[in-house]
Amino acid sequence: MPRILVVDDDEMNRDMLSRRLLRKGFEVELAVNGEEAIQKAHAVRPEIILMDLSMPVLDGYEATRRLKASPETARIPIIGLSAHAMVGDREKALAAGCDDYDTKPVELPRLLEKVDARLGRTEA
Amino acid sequence: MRRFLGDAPVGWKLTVISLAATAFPILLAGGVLFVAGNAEARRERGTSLAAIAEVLSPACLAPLGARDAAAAADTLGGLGSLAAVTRAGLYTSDGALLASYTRPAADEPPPRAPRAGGPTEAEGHVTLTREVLAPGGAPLGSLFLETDLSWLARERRARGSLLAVVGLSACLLAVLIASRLQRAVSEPIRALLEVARNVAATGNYALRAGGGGRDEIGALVEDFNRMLAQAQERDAELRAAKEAAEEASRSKSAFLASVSHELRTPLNAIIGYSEILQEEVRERGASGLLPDLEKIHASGRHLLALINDILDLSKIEAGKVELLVESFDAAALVRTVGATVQPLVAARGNRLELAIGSEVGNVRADVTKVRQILLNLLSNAAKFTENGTVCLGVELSRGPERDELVFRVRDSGIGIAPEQMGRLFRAFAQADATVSRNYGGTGLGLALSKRYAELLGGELSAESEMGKGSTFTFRLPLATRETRTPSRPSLLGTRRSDVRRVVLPAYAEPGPDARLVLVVEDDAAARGFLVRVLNAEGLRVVSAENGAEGIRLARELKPALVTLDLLMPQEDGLSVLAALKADPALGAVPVLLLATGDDPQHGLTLGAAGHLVKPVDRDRLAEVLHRFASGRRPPRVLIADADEMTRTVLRRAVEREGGTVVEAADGRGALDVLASSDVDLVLLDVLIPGVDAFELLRWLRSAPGRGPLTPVVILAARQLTTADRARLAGAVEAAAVAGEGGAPLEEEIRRLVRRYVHADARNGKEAPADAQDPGRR
Repeated sequence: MPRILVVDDDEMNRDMLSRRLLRKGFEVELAVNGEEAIQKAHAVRPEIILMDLSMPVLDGYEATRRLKASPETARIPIIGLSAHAMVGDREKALAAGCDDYDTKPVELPRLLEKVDARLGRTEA
Repeated sequence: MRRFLGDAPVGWKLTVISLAATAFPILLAGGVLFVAGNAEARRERGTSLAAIAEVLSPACLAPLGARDAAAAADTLGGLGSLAAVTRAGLYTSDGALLASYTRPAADEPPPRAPRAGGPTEAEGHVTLTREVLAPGGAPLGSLFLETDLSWLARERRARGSLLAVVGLSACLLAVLIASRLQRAVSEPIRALLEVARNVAATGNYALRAGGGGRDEIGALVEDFNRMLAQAQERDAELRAAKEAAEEASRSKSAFLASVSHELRTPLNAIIGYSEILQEEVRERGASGLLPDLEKIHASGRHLLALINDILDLSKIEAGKVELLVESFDAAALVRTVGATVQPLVAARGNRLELAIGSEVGNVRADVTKVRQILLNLLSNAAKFTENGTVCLGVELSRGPERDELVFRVRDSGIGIAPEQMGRLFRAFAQADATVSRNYGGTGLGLALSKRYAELLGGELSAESEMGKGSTFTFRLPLATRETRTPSRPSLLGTRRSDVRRVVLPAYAEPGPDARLVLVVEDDAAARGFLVRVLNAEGLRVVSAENGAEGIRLARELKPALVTLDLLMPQEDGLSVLAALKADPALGAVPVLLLATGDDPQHGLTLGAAGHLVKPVDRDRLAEVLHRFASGRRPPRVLIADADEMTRTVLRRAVEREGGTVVEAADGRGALDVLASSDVDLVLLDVLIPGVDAFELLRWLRSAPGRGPLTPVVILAARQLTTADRARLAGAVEAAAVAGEGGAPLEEEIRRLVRRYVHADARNGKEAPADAQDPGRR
């Protein structure tokens, strides 16, 4: 099953998402901020990254920009997640290089739909 | 005076006033002096005659006494040196003229014996007669003297001329001086005016008027400047207040954003963990806990909806809502909205009715907002109605100023009391505080809908009668008809030169009993082309320019085949298709979807029976299943989708509806299933790997047996956006190239028409148009 990197500074969010993804059969890796996300992305080479956008140390926007700038990780699809859902959040996420965007609280079926779309496209 | 000078500048007025003030006294004084001088000159003349007589009298004594005429003439001759005397005569005491003097210019001799007296003035002359007395006092004779007044006229002229010269000079001088001096008054006024105009034009209250001394004008300038200062101060205050208000609004938005973020974070956990718990509880079979978990979950979702609605309202108030205006088919929208709310309406035992006016067509607006308004109104109506009807209607209303689409949501529910109507559309003002407890809902739906309606340039109003029901009316103005975008790929290609390369078949008149094909195509050239191709095939053709007309004609004429342009710029071909397939009388009529890429040589045809948007709504799916299933035996459904999760979800939904499922993970697998067994319905992912979805459809349509009539529902990941359509167009073209090796469009259409229409006729089968449900029979 695909390896998925979940990046979120909130422990509960990480816990919920990873439990549900594990149950769906994904292999889940975790990171608590943008910096760790970049390290993990290089180290474990996930098939897809779910990136919380507002995080301490290094936020999701900047982490995404750096991941997309590195030839080794540029191809990993990133779905940005934000709880703001204000006008422009989506645009900001896409501008930072996110392949897709979704809001929190996560609606799992919808998020999985997006994950699948991304994975399906990269495999094809 | 005012009439003549009313509009003249102040400087002019002052100059004219000075001139008048100078000229009138001069004229008056000059006139008086002139008249008085005249009289004085006359009087003087008389006095001087008397003086001459006084001087001359003694010299006349001797000639009179001696009656010596010669001496008398000599004495009078001396008068020649006095230019004033024109005639003179010396008379003896008995009145005889002794001697006379006549100036050369005078023509008459002195009169005979004039009576003593004078001086008297008559006929332009002054005469004087004096007695000449002897030293003893005895009269010796009399002396007559006369002078004329012609000199007076000359003198008058001379004096008049002088007066005129002096008067004119004085006036000139007055004008010169006044035009200089008036500036002291008019200049400050003009400067003041200039500043006032500048302020009015630029709104710059920092300007100040200069000039003006200590007089009234100076006071006026000073007061004007004081007023400017006050205005400036107020202006600055207003600006500051406005900035403060904007700042407050910004911080309110920021506050709302951050509060909503802070609220969502714990909600996130509540909703997420309650979902996880539900899943785990189900797995472990401890279903007794489920109702409580569902309540936690539902409450969390409700709170989230509330926060989202507040956020939406604050976005509207902060002016942060962007409208995405696009063209869409209002009738199709009403149908899809109806399908969405159907379960909600049915939940309280209500019946949903749709009423779509025949003239309802395309409209340009933000379809998401229109949909949200309709959904809000309908869920509202469903909420307050039990065992009644909820009706969603749309009709075109032509007005003198603009055309409008009028959407009406009518229910037979509890109604709204008159005193509650006033605050119906206000935020947080549900008809009754207890209502939200009994009926749920955020209470923000109507407020939001009203704001959205206004954003769209329309209006939302309500009428109601207690106990009878309510009607909400949403009026949406129609934008001007969309003009064709020239870049859009047409059936005949985008390049004009390509159009010429298409050889049109000769026109052929089909017989009256020929089978009927309905062409739905907005492009006139492509329409004409299709009509000729189909006529050449011996078919009768009726064409429609847009989807709404197409649907209407299809219902009316029940054609044997419909060709439908998938990429009409003003409407979604797929929604027209959905509408056709949703009509029980038309669901069986085969539809040829015509989709084109940029290459005019390739068109693609497929016969999809409808499409579903992913993530697939279970109720929609159930609806589709019921539409295509007769109920005699459980329907057999092929689910062709690469994604296991999607297949699982769909399988469960189908099975719940009593159907059986065959799964295929790719196009090849789907082909195998279709080749080896009959299915009643195919759910086909538009992006299925292996064999392209369009190719699969093409194969299915040309397959022997029931294949061509099997309803296929396309699964698409999202609502088709412009980008999706472009992608779809690309996919279509690729499939055409791969599948047909570049067969000309005309050939392809012919081939398909033969397959769909003539094959049925040849085999003597019931025409698909007449069959109600060929998928089952």
